[in-house]
Amino acid sequence: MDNGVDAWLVQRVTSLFLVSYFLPVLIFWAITPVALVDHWRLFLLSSEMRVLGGMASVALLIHACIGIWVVATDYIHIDFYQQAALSFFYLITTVSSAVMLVLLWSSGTGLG
Amino acid sequence: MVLLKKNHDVRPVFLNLFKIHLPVTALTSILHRITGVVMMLALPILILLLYGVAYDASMLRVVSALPQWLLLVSEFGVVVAFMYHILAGLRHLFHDFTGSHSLGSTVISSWVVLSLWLVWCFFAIIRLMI
Repeated sequence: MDNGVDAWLVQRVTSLFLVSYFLPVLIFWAITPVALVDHWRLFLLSSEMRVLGGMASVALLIHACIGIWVVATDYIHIDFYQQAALSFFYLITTVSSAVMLVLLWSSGTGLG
Repeated sequence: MVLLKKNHDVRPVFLNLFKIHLPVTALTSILHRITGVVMMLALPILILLLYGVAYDASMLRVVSALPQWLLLVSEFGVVVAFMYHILAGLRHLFHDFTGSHSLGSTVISSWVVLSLWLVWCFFAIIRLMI
């Protein structure tokens, strides 16, 4: 990623993958008031949501890293703190995205 | 910002946050940023919950041992942050790809985003009361 225009476009493209995963999740949350673990398992580990979630986990890493870079470089003007904040957020996002991908990729339905 | 001020920069600094008028479009924008950062901080916890759902339900029992009010407040915070970020993000896409950048249209879309979000917040409270 060499320039801001690329980042701008990538941020928008990845957002489409993210919304196509997380909006269904929010709607599921909304319409399933007494959701038990098994309801969530059936939903999140259905093949459709696994595919959307796998793509979302990759999109999430890219989208969040660009987003936090934009915010941190706007507000934190002391190099050391800026780098420290960015490193922290890059780390938790990278680990979270990787774990999310592995979980969705590898787990069975857990329902027998 | 003040720390970076050069000697030759003599512009006045006015940082009384209570007296600066925040336009609705600026409010929409700053909330988009805040919710983005909040979601990143919540992400590891959400992945932990996903692990609980996918592999090990005992993880969820540990979580549910936390105080009820804390769980409700966290759940509320996460669902309203996600929904806000999605709505404000769709607003961005709308303005970026329709070429509509007038002040009037951005003010209207800000109010649309904030209104829809408040409806969602209200709904989320009811949903959590059930």
